Amino acid sequence: MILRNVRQNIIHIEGEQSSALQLAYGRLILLGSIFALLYLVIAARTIDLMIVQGYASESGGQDSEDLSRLARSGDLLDHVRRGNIYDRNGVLLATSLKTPSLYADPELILNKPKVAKALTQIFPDLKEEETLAKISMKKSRYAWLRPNLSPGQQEKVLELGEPGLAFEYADSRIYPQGNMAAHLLGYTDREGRGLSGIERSAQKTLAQGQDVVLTIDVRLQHALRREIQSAVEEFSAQAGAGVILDVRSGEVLAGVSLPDYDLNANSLYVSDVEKNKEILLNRLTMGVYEFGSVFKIFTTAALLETTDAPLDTEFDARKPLKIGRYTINDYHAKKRLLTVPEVFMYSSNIGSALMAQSVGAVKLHGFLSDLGLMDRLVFDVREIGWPQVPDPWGEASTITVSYGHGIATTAIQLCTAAATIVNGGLQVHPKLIMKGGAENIKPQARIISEETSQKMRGLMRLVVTDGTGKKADVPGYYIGGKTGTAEKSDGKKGYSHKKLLSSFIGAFPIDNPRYIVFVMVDEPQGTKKSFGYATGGWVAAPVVARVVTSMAAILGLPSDQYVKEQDISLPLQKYVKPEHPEKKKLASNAN
Amino acid sequence: MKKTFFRHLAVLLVMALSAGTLIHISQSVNRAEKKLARLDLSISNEKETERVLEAEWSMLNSPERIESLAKKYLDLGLPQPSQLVSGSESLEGTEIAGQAGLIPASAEMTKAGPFPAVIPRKPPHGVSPSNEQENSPE
Repeated sequence: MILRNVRQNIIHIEGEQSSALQLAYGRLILLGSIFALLYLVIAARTIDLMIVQGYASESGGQDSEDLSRLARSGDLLDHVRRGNIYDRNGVLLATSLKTPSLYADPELILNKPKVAKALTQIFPDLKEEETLAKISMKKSRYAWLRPNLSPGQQEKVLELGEPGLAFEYADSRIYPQGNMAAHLLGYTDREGRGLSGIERSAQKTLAQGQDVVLTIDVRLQHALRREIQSAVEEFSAQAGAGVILDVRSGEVLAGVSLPDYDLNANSLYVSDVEKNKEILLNRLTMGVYEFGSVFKIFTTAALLETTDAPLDTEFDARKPLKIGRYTINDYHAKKRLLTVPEVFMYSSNIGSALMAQSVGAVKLHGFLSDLGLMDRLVFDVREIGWPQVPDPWGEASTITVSYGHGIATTAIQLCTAAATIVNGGLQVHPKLIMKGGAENIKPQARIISEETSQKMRGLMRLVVTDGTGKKADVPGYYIGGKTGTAEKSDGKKGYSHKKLLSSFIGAFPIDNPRYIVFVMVDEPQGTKKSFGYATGGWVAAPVVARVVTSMAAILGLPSDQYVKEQDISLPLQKYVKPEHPEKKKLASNAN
Repeated sequence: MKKTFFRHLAVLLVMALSAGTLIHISQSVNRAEKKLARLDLSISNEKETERVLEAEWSMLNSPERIESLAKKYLDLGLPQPSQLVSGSESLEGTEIAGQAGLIPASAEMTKAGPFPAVIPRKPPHGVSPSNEQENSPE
């Protein structure tokens, strides 16, 4: 309107002023156009925001909600997930999954008692009163109710249709195999920091998002656990442990400590360490025990390695041996002179003590040190017990150590040393984490000669064919080993005759060993079937036999490779005096 | 005057055009960004699903479970040493001779080869592991 008036006025104006007016008019047009354009842009943007984008977000409502969640939870893709743990065949042992945790917004809950009741029905371990108190909190808009819901539980909570109940998503550690290798795998805290086992020792690698592959084979692990568990039940024992070890590479193929627990419920046990310490203790690596007669493997090897004593050397086992305040007896005394193979196969304490005497205190100490039995073992889990070694190391301790008393080590350490004895004499570095390439090869020092190792294998075979470990024999397989029955220390009262630690350490195929299979049962009680005996030969040896049977099927080891005529125990038979059948029966009951 | 007017009009047109183009580009970028975020989210969801399935697969295949199922439904026990023989001789010259471990003595030879039951490491596409593995002996 104004513009038109201006224009009408211009028509009447003539002369030199007209060009100035025209310029002003042009400027007004320009300004007007700019404003019009701005309004146009604003209008276009408004249409875009309200119609174009509004329509788009309406059609993908779910998506935009997810997107905003994505934005809230930060860079989901850049977030480093804790690495997985696999067994040697790629079976998943531990992983991190996003799991929902339940919380409530008390202000949004209308019927609080009803919700509290419904929640206790979904989660039986929640107490109704406590839950009600939590969701009735004034001032707070966040009542934390429960971590790590299972999909089923989450569904049930959603079915309640309660707007005041909501979920928060966070990573939690899942162990699909439950109890499998619980002590070796270990667990993490809520923030995902490893607190025990591999979770702790490989924390750095796992935290960087890298996976860890273990040397464990879940099939062997299961077989070993199943058999030890059944022995623990059969003999009403307190606990059990066992290991399958590759004698060449030192790889732990299976490691069991019983009682164990479901790793997925670790927080239940960890919350009260004192009460659950028996369950949480890793008896394989942390438990330190006097193993008894299995130690005779090392005493005999020391004799053969450090002295020139031939196998027919005789030791006087006619009467108990008195050294200082100790009197050493045999479990089933032969009361005659025994050769080296006889001392070993009948597990004579007197004979072993005399062997240790001929080796000498210093040399035996050095020999056991070389085998790694005197120091703390270096292993891939950090829960490793310190061996208890007599200090000072005198004559008396040399004698008791010869048959496995007065010295306490961990089971894994014992098996490592035994692996060195049977593998041809090379040092073994046990390992649980599979490493590839150059890392895998550690220098293996020679600890004993090939010849001594061969003799020891023959002796161990003799224990199974004719000695105390007959129940470990599996027809078709070539097992050698040594039984052990140790009386447990009863505090100040000395050793208890009723509390035993029965074990068997087996190696097979004994002519060229590949595996060590060790089983120990803590405080077994004799049964009718075992004629009241709870010795290593009755309790642990049959377990090893069953484990070897299972291993053969799993690993595909043929049973038709064994030739009786080539049995390595046959050349040693000439050192063994034939026995009266009755006596022979008794002997098999000894440890 | 006409010249100035057209010049101004041209400038205005260019401005309008560039503004329009700018809006269009910004909208495209916006859409592309949303699409990217959506894809990222779906990738992360797929990855999470994969992890869950892997965990489930491991749980369903645990030797303990397979053993109890084999016992319950198939009446299978532990194999005895006598059931295992070395099969290397009978497999000589065949493709699998190199890996020829063992074959159960009781197993019937099938056309497919001497290993009648080979459990796949991963479930075949589209098959839920829970239905599939119940009957497979370890």
